[in-house]
Amino acid sequence: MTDSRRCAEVRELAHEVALGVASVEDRAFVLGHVASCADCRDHLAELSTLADDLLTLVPQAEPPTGFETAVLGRLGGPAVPVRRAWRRLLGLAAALLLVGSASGGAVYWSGHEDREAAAGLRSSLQTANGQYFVAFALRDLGGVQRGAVFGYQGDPAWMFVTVTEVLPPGRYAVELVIRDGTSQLLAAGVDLTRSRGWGAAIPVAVHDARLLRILDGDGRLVLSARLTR
Amino acid sequence: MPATVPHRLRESARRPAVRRLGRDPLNPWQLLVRTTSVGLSDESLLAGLASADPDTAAAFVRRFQGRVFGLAYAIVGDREVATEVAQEAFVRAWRHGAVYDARRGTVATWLLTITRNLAVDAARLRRAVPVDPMVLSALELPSSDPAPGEDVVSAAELDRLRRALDRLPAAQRRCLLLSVFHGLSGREISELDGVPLGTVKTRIRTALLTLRSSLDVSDD
Repeated sequence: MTDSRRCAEVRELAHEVALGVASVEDRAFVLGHVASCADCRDHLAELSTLADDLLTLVPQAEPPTGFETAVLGRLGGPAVPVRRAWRRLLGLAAALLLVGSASGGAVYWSGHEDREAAAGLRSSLQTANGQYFVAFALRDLGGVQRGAVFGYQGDPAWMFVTVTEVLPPGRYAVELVIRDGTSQLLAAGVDLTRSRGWGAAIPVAVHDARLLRILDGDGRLVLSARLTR
Repeated sequence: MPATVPHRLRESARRPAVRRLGRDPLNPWQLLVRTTSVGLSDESLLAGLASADPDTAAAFVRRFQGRVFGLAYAIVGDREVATEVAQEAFVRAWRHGAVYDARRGTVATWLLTITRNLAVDAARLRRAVPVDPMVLSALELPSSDPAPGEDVVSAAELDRLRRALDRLPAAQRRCLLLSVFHGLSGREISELDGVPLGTVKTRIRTALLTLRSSLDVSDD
């Protein structure tokens, strides 16, 4: 099929794709074509914008009493700030220590490896004035984990990003969204394709960061990590 | 790695990279206008929701609940079902807020697209008879006073879109609205209205192209 015939066929189907009612086959055909045809891509984008804007024409309506509370309840409540979680962990550790000392030495050796690991972490944190060390999943737009973000709260605080999936060649930007919703560019022009990792000191505390985003050269979101538990 | 496609063209939501109605999420001036009205932009509130920050999550729900519930109710025609749909829309926004991309469209249309898809699914599940789209068409525009934090240029633009929609021939408008608000395909509309499939497809395509042309003329 020639390009112009293919374009004509895509134009016939584009409106149903834009409205989200096309069959799976038609949708795949159109999206496959627009990936390499700028004109048809623009045409589809315009129709999609129009379709989206039509949704906003519907007037607002007052939801039933208690709606907001019900929604917030379903969101699982506020996230526990990392710092508070750390304190809770310390409290738990202290409680365990008390229980452990009361129940005698037999229990002592059963957690030997854990204690060694904890001692190693404590020593590492002390070396670099650290308070805690955390890790979060780095996911693509489909929610699939593609790497990890490690955060170290110390002086300075830093983050390190690892990417397990091979990214398309190009330069990437790393951006941090802070708890007040503002974003800070941490780095631009990062070659994640070859290095598969990047890290730097960050200008805020780890527990004040909410999201880490990786954007491609055109500024499009590629990967992101939610920095809360 | 998935290719960059508009929200509307993805599974969860769809949105084009280029806004025709003049709303550019990356335009610093528009961001400033939106931000200064209440202190936090839609994007900031969504970031707060995604990170489960309780204050911004509550502000996000307050800002959008009227629009989300309004759309859900318009589609399913039942307050109880609309409430469930609207709640689920916010939960989805919370779950997927981290992957929202401002370049693909505004937070409002992203959220409304999620709502519309959920409402259509709910209506199908209940085998509900679609609300007559002409009723939707006859509804009045949202207040021309922008909500706090809302893009101040949007109301006038939407008004133009509404007028263009009203000028469409009734048959075209019906087919278009059945598609937009009830997720009906050309074949389903054809069966519902007893009209040949080709005619339905032509009506929808012509309606969309007419709307686009109308807005192009207004833009000039």
